[in-house]
Amino acid sequence: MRKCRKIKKLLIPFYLQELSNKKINRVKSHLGTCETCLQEYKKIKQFFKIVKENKKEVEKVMSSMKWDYVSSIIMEKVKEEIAFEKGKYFFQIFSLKPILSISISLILLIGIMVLLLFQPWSKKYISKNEFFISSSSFENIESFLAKEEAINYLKQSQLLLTDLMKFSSPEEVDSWTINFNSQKAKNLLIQKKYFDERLNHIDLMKAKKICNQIEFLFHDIIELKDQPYFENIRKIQRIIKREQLLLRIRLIEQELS
Amino acid sequence: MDSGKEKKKKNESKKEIIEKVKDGDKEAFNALIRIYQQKIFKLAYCYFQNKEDAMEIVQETFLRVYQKIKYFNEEKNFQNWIYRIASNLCVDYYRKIYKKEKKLLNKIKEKFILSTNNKKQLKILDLKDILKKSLQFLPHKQRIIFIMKHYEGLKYNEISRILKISVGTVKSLNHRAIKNLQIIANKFIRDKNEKM
Repeated sequence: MRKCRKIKKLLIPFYLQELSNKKINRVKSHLGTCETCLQEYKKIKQFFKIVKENKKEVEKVMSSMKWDYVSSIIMEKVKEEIAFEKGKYFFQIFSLKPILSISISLILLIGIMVLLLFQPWSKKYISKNEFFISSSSFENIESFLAKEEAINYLKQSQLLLTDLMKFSSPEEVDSWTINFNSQKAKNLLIQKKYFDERLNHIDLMKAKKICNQIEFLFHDIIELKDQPYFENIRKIQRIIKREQLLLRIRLIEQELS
Repeated sequence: MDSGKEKKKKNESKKEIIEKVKDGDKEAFNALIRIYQQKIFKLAYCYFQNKEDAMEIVQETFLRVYQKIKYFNEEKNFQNWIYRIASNLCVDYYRKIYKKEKKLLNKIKEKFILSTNNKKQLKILDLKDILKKSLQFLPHKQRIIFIMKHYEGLKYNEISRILKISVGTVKSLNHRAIKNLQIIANKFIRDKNEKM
């Protein structure tokens, strides 16, 4: 019985030919004498016969498979996975490097805080009755208005100076015209006070230079009210001619417009 | 000598394919699938005894291969590596899916016994079914080793390298698997005879 127990343990490796020659001989001689062990061995043999049958069946299943189709399915799945991985990349940044993720989060947080603080979309900046003008367009409008004002001023000055140039003899001088002209000169001087700063600001230096020259003449014209003498008028006329003021005024007018 | 040379050539071409796959070559990956898909399918089919689960394992195995091939050491055997992935997946899949259906499996066992009323049916065909069902009751490692040895035709040392266990352990687990299968199958047959 003891021997049978030992031999039974060796039956499977004996069938699988995993034993040494010595053990093979021992099992063989025992199987020749012991009927129960022989029956046991026959069972093992039958078992492996079934395994072989089963193996054949598996081979049948294997040959019935369409392997090209299987490989195409696998490739499809892999491609899907690649696409998914690419999509996941953005979120992977956060999981890969903690320092990077913290810094990105901080930048985002600061950005959100700045937006909330200044609220560019808020009514504070644009309301229903207001409209937003950029600084550059505001400057453009300002310079346009200043130019218009300068042109208007120069035109009025030109008319005044042309009026003065009409006097050719002392007989033509009448107090009413002189008074009218001096009043006009006064008004123009007041007008100049207002747009003087704008001319400075928009760099209309040429216009400003001629305006200053005319200003001195206007003071003389205002004085004519008290001393309406032809000589004084002639003096002004000479200055106008010498400085070619009328021509220069015209040129600047053209330049500005 | 010639077969040795051929083997060497095959191994070299496989290495080239693996290198290309590592560089992201899809064609090479397709070639890799064509080489190993049948082996993996066979293993999974024997493990689960159905095509659907086997296909699932094949797909999952190649997906893992694609994801992890950058970590694969080219000096090692690729076949061992892919078999290891597949066998681990089989075990995981079984635990995940079949554990929930353990009760169902017992029902299948009952159904299987009850369905065979005809005496004539108890022949080699039934015995094959009994073997299939008995395989399902083997512990995972024994089952994998039995399949690898007797269906895939792998040697003991190859299995030991795949499963990272000693050759002796593989041998004894294989013998135990055979014994257990016999015991389970005998129990099935006895139950069946009692019912008839």
